[in-house]
Amino acid sequence: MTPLTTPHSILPLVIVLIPLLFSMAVGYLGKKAEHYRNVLAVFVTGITFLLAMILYLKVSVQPVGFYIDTFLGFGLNLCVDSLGAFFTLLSSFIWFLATVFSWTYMSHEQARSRYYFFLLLTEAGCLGVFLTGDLFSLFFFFELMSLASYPLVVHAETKEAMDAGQSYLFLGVAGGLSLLLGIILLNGFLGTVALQPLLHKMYGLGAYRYLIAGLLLVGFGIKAGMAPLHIWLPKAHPVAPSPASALLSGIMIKTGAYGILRVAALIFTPPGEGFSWSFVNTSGFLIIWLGIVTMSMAAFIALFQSNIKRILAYSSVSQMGYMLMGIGCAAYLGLDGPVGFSGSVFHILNHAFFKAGMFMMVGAVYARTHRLQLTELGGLKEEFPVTAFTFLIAACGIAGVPGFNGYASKTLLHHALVEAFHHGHVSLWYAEKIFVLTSACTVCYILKLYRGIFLGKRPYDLEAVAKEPLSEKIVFGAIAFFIVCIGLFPQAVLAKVVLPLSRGFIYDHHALVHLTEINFWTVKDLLSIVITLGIGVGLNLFLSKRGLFNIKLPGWLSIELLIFRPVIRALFFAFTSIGDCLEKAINNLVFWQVIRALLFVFTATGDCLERAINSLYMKGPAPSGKGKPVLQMLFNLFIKCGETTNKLLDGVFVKGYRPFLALSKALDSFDNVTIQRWGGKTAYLGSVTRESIYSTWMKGITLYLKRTHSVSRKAFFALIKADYDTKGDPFYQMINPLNYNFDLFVVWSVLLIILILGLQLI
Amino acid sequence: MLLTERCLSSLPYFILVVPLAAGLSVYLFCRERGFLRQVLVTLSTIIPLALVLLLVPFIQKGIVLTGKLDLLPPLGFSYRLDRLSLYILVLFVFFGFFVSLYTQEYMKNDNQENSFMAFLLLVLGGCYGVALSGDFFTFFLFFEFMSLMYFVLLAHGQHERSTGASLKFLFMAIIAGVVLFLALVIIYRETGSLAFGSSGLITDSSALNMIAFVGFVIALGIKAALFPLHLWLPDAYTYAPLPAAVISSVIMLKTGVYGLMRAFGDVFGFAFLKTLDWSQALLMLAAVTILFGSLVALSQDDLIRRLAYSGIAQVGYIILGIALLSETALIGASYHILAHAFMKGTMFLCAGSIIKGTGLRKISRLRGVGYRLPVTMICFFIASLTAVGIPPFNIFISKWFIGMGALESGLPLLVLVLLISSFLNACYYLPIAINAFLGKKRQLHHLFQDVQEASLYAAAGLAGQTADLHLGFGGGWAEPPLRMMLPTLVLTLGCVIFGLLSSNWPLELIKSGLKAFF
Repeated sequence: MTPLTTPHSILPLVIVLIPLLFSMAVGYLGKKAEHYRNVLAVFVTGITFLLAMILYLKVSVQPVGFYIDTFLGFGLNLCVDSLGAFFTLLSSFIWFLATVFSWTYMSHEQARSRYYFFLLLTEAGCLGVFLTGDLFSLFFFFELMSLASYPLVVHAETKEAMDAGQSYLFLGVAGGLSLLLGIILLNGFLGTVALQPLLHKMYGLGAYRYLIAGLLLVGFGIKAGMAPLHIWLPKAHPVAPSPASALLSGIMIKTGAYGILRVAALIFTPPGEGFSWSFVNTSGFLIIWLGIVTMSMAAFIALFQSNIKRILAYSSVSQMGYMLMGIGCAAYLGLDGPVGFSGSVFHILNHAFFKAGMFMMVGAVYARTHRLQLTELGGLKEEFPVTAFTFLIAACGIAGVPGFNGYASKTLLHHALVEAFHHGHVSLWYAEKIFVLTSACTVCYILKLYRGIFLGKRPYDLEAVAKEPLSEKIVFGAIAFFIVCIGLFPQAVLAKVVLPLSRGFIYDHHALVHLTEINFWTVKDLLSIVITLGIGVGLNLFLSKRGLFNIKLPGWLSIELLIFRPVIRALFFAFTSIGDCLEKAINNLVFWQVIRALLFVFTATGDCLERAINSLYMKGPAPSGKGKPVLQMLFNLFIKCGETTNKLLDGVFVKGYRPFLALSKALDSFDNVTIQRWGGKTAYLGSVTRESIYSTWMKGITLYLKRTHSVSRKAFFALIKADYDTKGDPFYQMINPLNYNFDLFVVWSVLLIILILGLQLI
Repeated sequence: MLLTERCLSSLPYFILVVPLAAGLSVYLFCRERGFLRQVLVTLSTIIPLALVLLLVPFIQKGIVLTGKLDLLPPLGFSYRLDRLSLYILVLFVFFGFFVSLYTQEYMKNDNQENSFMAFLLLVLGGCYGVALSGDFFTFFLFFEFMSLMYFVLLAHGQHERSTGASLKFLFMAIIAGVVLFLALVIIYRETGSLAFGSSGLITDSSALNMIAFVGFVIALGIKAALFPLHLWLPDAYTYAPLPAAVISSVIMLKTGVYGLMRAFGDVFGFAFLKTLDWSQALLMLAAVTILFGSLVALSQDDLIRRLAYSGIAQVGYIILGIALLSETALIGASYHILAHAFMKGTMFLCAGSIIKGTGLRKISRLRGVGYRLPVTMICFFIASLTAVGIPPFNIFISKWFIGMGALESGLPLLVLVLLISSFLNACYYLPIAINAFLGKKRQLHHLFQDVQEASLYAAAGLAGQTADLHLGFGGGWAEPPLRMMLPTLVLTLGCVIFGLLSSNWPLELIKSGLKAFF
């Protein structure tokens, strides 16, 4: 599966790109012409199917591949081996049938163009999962499929659908991230995520091996509906439109099984006999039990459902348990694992036909009656003769009646489980008993479904029901044809189709040869299936006679109510309340409280200091009367100094003032007598002269100022034109500094001057 | 060749001067002249873009342009354009052009339009200066200039809490400036140089150098909204006009991260830091930032606030990538700068279109808004897928590299942190996009109730609050005009295109550019 060793072929890329690109064309065309859109969609899926067939024939000789090494900085590896090509073929075929079926079914639904767009987009993602040669590229398409199928699930947009879609989306995203974490760890430790045996490189990793394996198992297990991660499945499958449910149950959950198969039976195996297989055994044992729990629990719950699509959804979970158990056996048996491998792959093939078929047949009934409750249906055999007949065939298939396809794969799975018991752990004896009991439950609920819809008395309010159209007859007929064909020639299908798929896997050659010679029609196998059928039919008769089918299972049995919902609610509450508290605490409280606290500390410190200084320096004597405040003391001292100086000066100067007094009197007489007599006339003359000179001078000055002021005013306004308003001449408006933000202008011009000076210095 | 280089080496001055001069002239002359302002803003953002594109082929070849102006001796202004700065600069001028285009339309007929555009250009000029600077002194000056101008930009908000928010930013920016200055003084005293381009100036682990290291982390961490230092961000985004949030989240946060890269690579040297355990605390803080941002975003009902907290988490990835000190992680971190800018840019622009078109801000009221703004909400949806890290989109690439870097450093737990954050991203982004298109349409009586509430508020004269009560399903086509649409579409394309092109140009550029550090 490495790009270097495989021959170059662009076919895988084309198969992915055709639905991817044409999905947009279909979505666009839907707005113009509905009829052509339907034709184009059928045409696209048909072409994809043909190309897948060519690819399958090509790959059956040798793996081919295509490699884009610049994609996302990691490289897109589209190398296909026979297992991938086989799943591609199967998926594209079922997709083709479902698209044909959509034509009539979707005619009564809303938002048809959206439906077709996402239908083809999902096909691209789903086929891409099977067409990739390493986990990284697989993850890319896995995510595309998960997200693109979300609008299919919530198509009805009712509250129920939105709730189901929510768990579908978030579990899908969580699964994807778990997968991504596993892939990153794997790539980080080993440097490669190619689909090839890698266990021998992981011996040094210790506990990380278990972590990686667990993460990958959870990631794929969510998609595969593995218990206890299946809770999205019984909600999401019934609410989707029937062709989409058929694809979800028939194909898309198989990507999970495919991933687990690749991981458990390929990546986590050593490349040969010379290595330790103990890790594979452990993981295989775990997966067997996970499968057993899944199948039995879901089959038991399916017994007591009354919604027909919900029964089928639980049945899907249960059948996924079969496949998981087969994969577990394949891993558990190690080199002798082909029986488990072929059992699970064979069952995937069979389940794709009968489950997709049953969903579509139930959908055909729903499209005409708009009822999903088993109690409101019944006796529809006259209107749907072909549907009823093909449903019976599909029911025989799922129940494992000899001659129909389910018999072969279930027998193989049974062989695998028995072989695992013989090789290994004692507890697997119980597993085998549960397996038989689960098969009986399957018979029971499928019989209930058939009787409830097609047989029995018709409710009085169900009168005029439209008949099935031709296209549906053809689709259902094709499915029934394949079911019977595989059922009649299981030997050939096993040897020619299923066993060659194990080429990339590490298996003992003898075990493979032994498996090609297996006989399906031994008395032992037939007897065990007859016992199973007997128990199933008996159980059905017993339960229906006692009216026990309609009892409601108590709520505490539901894993979802018991574990998931409280946990999610608690987590969500915890997250949001933590977030809220943190936000409020840190964002609003802390910052401003810290600022406020700092401010308080600062002001309080300032206040205290001020008070202390005040009381120390300014105010009156302290109450004790002992010490005086410093300032008071200084003041008193100062005053005392002044008083003393005053006294001293009094003593010196006041007593020696007499000579000065005489001088003063003499001067006084000169001033008041002599000057008054002679100086009066002179002073008068002088003042008159001064007055006249002054007035002349002032007149001149005033005149000058008046003239110059008016001239300069005119000149100034002529130049600056400051009296223009803002609506005036735009040029003046621009150069007029009054229109600037003046302070800013000053700042900038100073900066500019500094800058210019600086530049000149350089 | 010599002549060419001399010609080229004068171009960076123009890249810097053009937006600054244009910002100034817009502020002074364009208050009454809308057309002139449009011309100036468009020219001043497109000229740097053109000049940078002119420089790209030369720098990519390995030429390093340097230059110096002795303006403030003894240190002086210097620029240096190597591959890493080119990468950052290309991002800045590209987003600068588209964001200013968007802002022109968004702020149209706002009474503060002119000064807002002017300060936007000044902030952009500061950011270009940060990207171009050739030593930490120049870096510091432009960093401070940018912060102060951004403070003015924030203060344009009309909300009653805008002033508080912008003051908060100012306080933190001042603290950042002071602490950065302290660190620079220490480094200059110890080594006598602050220039970029030497892989490691510091050679001993004295206590003083450690203080400088912590100073760098605090100062640049404030700008990049590292966990205990992020306080300014949510309020600033929420209460400022939306383009201010866009410019910060797309360009300005990245200057802090870029400075951290330069400090780690050029001042301390990754090889030297690897021998010490100084960056362990930063690693812890980054992890806490990622989880904290995502958790708090989950509980927000205001669209912008949710985006703000998500931005804190996303920048946490970048800091985580830097703190891991390995080349792979650093490539992831650098690429995340681009990836986050495209993703968050798209989201903010979409949020702006929603607010402008419908007046809705509360996420709980956005139900069915996709019928009124289909193109915008599809863009938002693509961006939210990008945020979760779905493969063909950008963030997946960066997360992949950061995760690989964490494994190289032997810390697988950090990968788990990244993925938990991715899951939380899905939890808080996808419902917005899904509820915009799908789900049961609102019942008629709800619509009537809204109408009643709206008229009540209108009667009470609370016109501002009626904006929040517009009807999701009611009303018609609300797509924004072309000048808001075009940037949104271009950014959305950017989320998608790099992973699908045959050669991822930015990734190759960083890969060769970061070789200098290792």
